[in-house]
Amino acid sequence: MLTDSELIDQVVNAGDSQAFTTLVRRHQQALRYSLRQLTGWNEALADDLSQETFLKAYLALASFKKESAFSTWLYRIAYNVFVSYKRKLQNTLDQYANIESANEEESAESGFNSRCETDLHRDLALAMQALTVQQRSALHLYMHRQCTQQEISEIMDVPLGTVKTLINRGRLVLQEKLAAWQDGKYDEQTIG
Amino acid sequence: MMNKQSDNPEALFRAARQTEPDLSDQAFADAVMQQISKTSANQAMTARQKNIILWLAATLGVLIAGSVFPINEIFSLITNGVTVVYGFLVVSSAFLTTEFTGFFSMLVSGVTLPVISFIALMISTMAYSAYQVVEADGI
Repeated sequence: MLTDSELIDQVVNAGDSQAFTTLVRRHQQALRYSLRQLTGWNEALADDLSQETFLKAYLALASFKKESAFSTWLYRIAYNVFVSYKRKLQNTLDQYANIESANEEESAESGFNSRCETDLHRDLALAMQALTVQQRSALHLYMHRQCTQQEISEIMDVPLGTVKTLINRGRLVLQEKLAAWQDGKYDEQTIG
Repeated sequence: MMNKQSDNPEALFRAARQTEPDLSDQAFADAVMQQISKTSANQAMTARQKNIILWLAATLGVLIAGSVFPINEIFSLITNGVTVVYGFLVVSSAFLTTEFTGFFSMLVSGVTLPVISFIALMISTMAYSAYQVVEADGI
């Protein structure tokens, strides 16, 4: 089986789109899951952002220096795509006097409470909506993807100290959110 | 089962990691590749249009330069010859290829045309000067 590096060479040097298809197949699972976690398990949105990420990766593949793993580079693109999406959304929301923002928060909140009987991944994604985009991304990459703090620093393009702060604060906020959830009426229910 | 441990983020993430669903999907990969080919085709079209505009502008520039500064017939001949040959190369390549590579790239690049024209101008001027000297000497 060809490595990521060999497949990238084939795409860049020989224009072999089939090699890129292999890369997509290989990395789509992790990327789509991660974006679902970041978007509050919005499957359609996560898939759109994943598609955009792969498209940007394909167009910029020749500039990939292979100084990091392809997956790290892909996450960096995905993070930027997600942040851009949130920024655009925020601009739109500002124009409409935050009506949508309120709706979004409300739906995330109600989703979190009403979906406790559904699967763990969806619940976790909804709980993560309580975090800022940066905290959410850092926490997911660190605790789920088990990236090193250095890798997260590269992916998010923030200093190492900021990554540590984001992870610690994110963990605390999430813990509070989960504790409140446990203390509520879903105390005896399982989420797994 | 995450029951009482679910207020612990570490336990929650560990459980999520261990049970991460398989989202691999051929339809998704196909959609990505379809999007890529569509975008690539659009970009190729844009590049082709850019090439055509660039070379038409360059050709027109040389023609205007040739008519504004009609130093001599030789120059005009060379300039027009260069223009015609390059014009043909440029337009046909712009239509046929999306990217120029190697020697061909150098040959038809935007910088080469003015340089070649300038060299042609120098050669024709020198040739004309030499012709005048020879004629004046009555040889």
